Amino acid sequence: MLDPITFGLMIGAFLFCTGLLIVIIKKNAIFVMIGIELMLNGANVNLVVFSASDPNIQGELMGIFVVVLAAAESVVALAIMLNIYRHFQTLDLNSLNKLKH
Amino acid sequence: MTEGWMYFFGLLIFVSGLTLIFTKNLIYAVFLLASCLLSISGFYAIYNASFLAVIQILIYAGGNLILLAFGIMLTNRSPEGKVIVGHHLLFFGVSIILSMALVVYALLDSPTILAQEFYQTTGQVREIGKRFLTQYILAFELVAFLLLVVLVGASYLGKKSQHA
Repeated sequence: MLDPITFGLMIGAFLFCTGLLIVIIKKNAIFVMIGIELMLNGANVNLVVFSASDPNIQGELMGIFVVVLAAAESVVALAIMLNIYRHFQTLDLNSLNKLKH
Repeated sequence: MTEGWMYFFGLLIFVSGLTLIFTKNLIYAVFLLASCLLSISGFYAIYNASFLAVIQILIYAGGNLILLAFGIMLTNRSPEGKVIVGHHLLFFGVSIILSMALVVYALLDSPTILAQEFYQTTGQVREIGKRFLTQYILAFELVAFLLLVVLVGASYLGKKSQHA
């Protein structure tokens, strides 16, 4: 039986590593964004776990800010990806190596 | 009881995360991400952050995933989530797994993280509201301004450009 705090930190580390691996190995830009979401969630799990025994819930407040910033980031990133797709007809990260069409 | 739920959600996160690495279908990936985010929200509820759990379901599972699904449907012919093949990626994978093993070992070995009682709160939403309007007022206003900027910027980027 693990301590709940240790277990939560392990889950956070697992989520961060999974996100990092997806960001590195995937070819599609949308997949890379999924990896970024996972990394942000891993950081958020760490914040929440540390704030679980804190009377001033500082970690949870930071977590709320992280969620808002992640939503903003994903909106702008998807708009940029749609523009890229309109220009190049692909989202393959290996073939997107020109700044100009 | 709570511990059982904790292991259940942890197992769900673990399985869906691992499957996310190995899947090649983008639609499957979005559904796996949905299950992962919902389990994380259950995790938050266990760790005494009920407000953040609700926010997670609302913003991530409600808004962000729909956005991702739209992105996938609008970019249909792009490559599916293929793995880039090459030996340098083997190096990256091994190094990431090693670093994760190191972190887990340090966590299990560490004497500084003590088991503590969870602080049970009932009026948590009231507490969060108070702190947002007193202690974190600057960050709160800045986030509001950022959301306005994102709204304008996304609608500008999303429209059809003139020369394309």
